[in-house]
Amino acid sequence: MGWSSELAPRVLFAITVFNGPEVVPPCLRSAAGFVDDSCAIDILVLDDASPLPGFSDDLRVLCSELGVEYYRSPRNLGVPRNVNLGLLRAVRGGYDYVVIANSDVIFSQRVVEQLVRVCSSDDSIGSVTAWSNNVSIYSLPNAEPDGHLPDQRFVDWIAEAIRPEFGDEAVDIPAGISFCICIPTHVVRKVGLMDPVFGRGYSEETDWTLRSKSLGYRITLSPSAFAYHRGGGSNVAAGLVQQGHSAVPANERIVDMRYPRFRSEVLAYQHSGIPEALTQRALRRITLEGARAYGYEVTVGHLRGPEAGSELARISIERDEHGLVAFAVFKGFTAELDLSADDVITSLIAQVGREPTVIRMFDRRILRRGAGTTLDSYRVVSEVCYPPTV
Amino acid sequence: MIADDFDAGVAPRQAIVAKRRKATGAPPDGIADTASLMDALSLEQALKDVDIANARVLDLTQRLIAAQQQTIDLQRAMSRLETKLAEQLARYQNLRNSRAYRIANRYWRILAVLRGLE
Repeated sequence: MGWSSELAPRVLFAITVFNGPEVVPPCLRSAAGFVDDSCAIDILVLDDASPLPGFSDDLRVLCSELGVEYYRSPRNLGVPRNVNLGLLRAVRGGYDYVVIANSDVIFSQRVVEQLVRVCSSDDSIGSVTAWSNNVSIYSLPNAEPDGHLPDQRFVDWIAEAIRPEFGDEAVDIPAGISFCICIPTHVVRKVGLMDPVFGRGYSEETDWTLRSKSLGYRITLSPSAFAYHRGGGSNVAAGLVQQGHSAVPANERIVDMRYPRFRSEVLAYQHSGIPEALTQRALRRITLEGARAYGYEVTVGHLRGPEAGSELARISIERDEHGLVAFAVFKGFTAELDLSADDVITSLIAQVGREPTVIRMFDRRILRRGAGTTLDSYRVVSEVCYPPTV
Repeated sequence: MIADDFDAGVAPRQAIVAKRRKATGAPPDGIADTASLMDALSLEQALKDVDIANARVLDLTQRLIAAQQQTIDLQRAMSRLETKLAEQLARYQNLRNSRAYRIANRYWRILAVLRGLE
């Protein structure tokens, strides 16, 4: 980033906690391992009077072991007021940026650095949301996120894989998501705190970011700042949202009343083509990078199903009503690949940058029909299974 | 395992955690400082939140009173209109029951039949 140590921005990373003995320790260990070459990061855990017996004591000990600050509120405040403690601490403590994060997240090692870099790229940016498998309408889809992604090393790997694709891009989005959101403290001073009217929580960050927008600030997402977000479960267990719901309708009605155009702005964003393009770029990058780094096999004429435990990437060539299509699959991520060249296999190898370990032929007819492919120089295995194609 | 390879190219996390632990200092003092600092912030903000909540209650109460008055006024207006409507319906019914209306009605029916014969 190029800041000298005395000019390095100070960042307060506030993690809000309410119970969660399964998810909180990995989250804190993840945060404790942030690379802070270019910014000074302090981590503050805000325990909202977790009622689970013994949990807060264990958490205090863990925080001490990890060298992160811990504070337990004397009584339960609810998410908005707990978040406000983090915002206030950042403002009063002279920090340049504050990151608000949930406690069911595994952060990539350089996520703070990336968020700050994007934040500082434009004075009109009021917030930068990190990217994740579970971040409302901006989610990066994965077939089995809780199976593949809760692994610190893989989260770091994904972030490193997609960073060259997106760099410091800031994508404008309709509203921020506080599972991991970075805010410059000078913006907090102007916009204020989360509104306690949202009670125990949900939609408070929508309200806050829309308030910031009304003051002229951009609401953005950094695709290079990746984090795994489990999401959901703890909120249902805590009674924050009802079973089968993903939001609090009463809080959504407040947002509807205050920002009548918000829902149509969300629809416009969803139909703008921006989210698909963003997702496709990332998926293509991750799957091709996975194939390049760890090897891949090609299956011809086999239905894309679960990855059958293979640690290799897989490229599946299929035929649909428009012709040949190819999909790359790596650890739950799937991307459609280009098949413009005459020779299908050669075109795939050119995209990946290395040859496949094996080509599994489930249906030889697919490559015979005008695909122009010669397979003599590859290891080809003929597979027999039922049904070969549908 | 591929998972082991994911370590390649990123800074060793254990070293970073150890560095953070060292930088933060002795935990007991740190905890006491953090707790007292955050207690003070929390209390100050809680008092402001109460002020804001009170202001909102006062504002909403005023709006509720105004809305209730408007409701009462509208109910009164509606009652007046219902009474007027009942009066008009009674007049209309009296008109339909009058001898003149019945004669006129019979006249028009006869006229319609005669027109049909032409």
